[in-house]
Amino acid sequence: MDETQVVTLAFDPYAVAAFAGYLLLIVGIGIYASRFSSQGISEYFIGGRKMNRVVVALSAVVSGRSAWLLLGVTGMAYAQGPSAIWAAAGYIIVELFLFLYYARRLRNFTEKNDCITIPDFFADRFGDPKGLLRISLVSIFLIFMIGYVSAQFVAGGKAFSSGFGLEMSTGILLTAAIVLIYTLVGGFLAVSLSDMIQAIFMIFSLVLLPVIAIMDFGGLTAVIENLSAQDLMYVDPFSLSVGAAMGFLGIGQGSPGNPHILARYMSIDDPKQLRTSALIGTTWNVVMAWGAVFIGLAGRAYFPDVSMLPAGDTENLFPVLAQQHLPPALFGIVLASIFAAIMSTADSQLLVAASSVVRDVYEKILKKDENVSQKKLVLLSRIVVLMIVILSVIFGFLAEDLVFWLVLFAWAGLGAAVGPTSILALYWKRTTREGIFAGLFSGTAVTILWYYTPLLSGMMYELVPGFLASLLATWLVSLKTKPPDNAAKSFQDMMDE
Amino acid sequence: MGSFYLVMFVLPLLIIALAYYLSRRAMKDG
Repeated sequence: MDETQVVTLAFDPYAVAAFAGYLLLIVGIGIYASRFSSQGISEYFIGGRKMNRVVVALSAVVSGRSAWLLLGVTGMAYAQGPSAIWAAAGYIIVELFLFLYYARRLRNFTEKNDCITIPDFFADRFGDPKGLLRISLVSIFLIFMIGYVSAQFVAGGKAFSSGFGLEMSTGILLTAAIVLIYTLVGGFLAVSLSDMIQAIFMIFSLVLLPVIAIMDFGGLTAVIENLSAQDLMYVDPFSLSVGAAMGFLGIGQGSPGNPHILARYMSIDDPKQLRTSALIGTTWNVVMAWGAVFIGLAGRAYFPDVSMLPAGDTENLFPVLAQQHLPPALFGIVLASIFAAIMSTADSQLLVAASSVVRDVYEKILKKDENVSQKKLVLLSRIVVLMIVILSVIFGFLAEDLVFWLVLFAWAGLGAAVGPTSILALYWKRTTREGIFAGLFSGTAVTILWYYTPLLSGMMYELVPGFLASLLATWLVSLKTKPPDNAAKSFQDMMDE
Repeated sequence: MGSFYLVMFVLPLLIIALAYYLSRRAMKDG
């Protein structure tokens, strides 16, 4: 292939038909789930704790993997070879342990104390008479989540624009409208069931595409020989610096702090089933991540120069490779898998942000002494979902170019603030309310300061120091203050029946 | 080249085997 030849994506009616079929399926699920989700806010926000092990496993892993996996990790593997796998290895191992241990304690405690949200969990574990703990957590969630959802909408706009030649702004509005329809109508059940379908689309694309692309090139040996001839870095999984490797592996520290993942663990019907979810979720995570890296490696063999990709952007590798190697209908499915990754993350984040407003601010603080009907709470939840979508779209339009840094930044901010505090709350009886405040504040502050100090941010991903600072602050302040009187009972509530 | 095959083919299998082993053990622990 001529190195100066730039490939472009072309519009195809079969691809559009396959893609439209996928969208209809997702919207249909929203309508199907609407009656169940309208019963009350427990049903609307955590599916009434009736989800089975497969739904929880797949929903938890795909909610945590946005378009970053399909477009970002493939691009990273294209740019720096197999060492990109370390960006996934960290979160895969962390999430395995979350499923097996952390999730069971969280699920047991939240079921016994009727907690629907993560701020609910903290408020019941440590007491929150004035609502300060809830307000702090809700503020952290909203600051990071609205940017996070915006970034998903902008990614959808980008995918519509490169896949179907639509205007970026039309693409953003379309993505937001689709997510809005099924999330607003169908709530958690729709989001979880659609996550399952989306998980299938994603794994299908991430297995099929690298296998076909590598076979078309003449097999794995031919690809490896080509990569070795280009640069040995492209076949060396240990080519990273120590700081970069730690930062990559440290991405996993974000999983226990991202409430849209934690809500999945809280929704399982039987906590003992989380063991099976651990195996299913880990297998899915492994296959998706390794598939993404193989796509990057195959792409490097096909396109030795980045200028051969549309706009010279490594994030275009995935759709370009799919268009060149798959028949149009399958290409449509691959495009759908990009939207699946985007939407499975955005819908979960949307519900978590809305639940923190309705449950934690409205029901538990503003209407603390009143009995608000479930019907009214569900209606309010739907209005809040709509408002957050509008805010995220506006934010996406205003800061189209800025929102992408928010993904890793929001992952870090939530991971650093909520991760260590929730781990200690679940595993250390001596943890105190004051310690939690110290952890939330220091995790957020160190993440922001580290990110904005060029000397430090160049050294390592801000989540690693943010997480450590939060862990240390929670521990030290807890040692100097008094734990809640009901700590022993709380720990009993975390155990299996 | 050995490290390439180890990381790209053996490591994923090891992680899945670890998940299988730990989930079985967790089941025995009740």
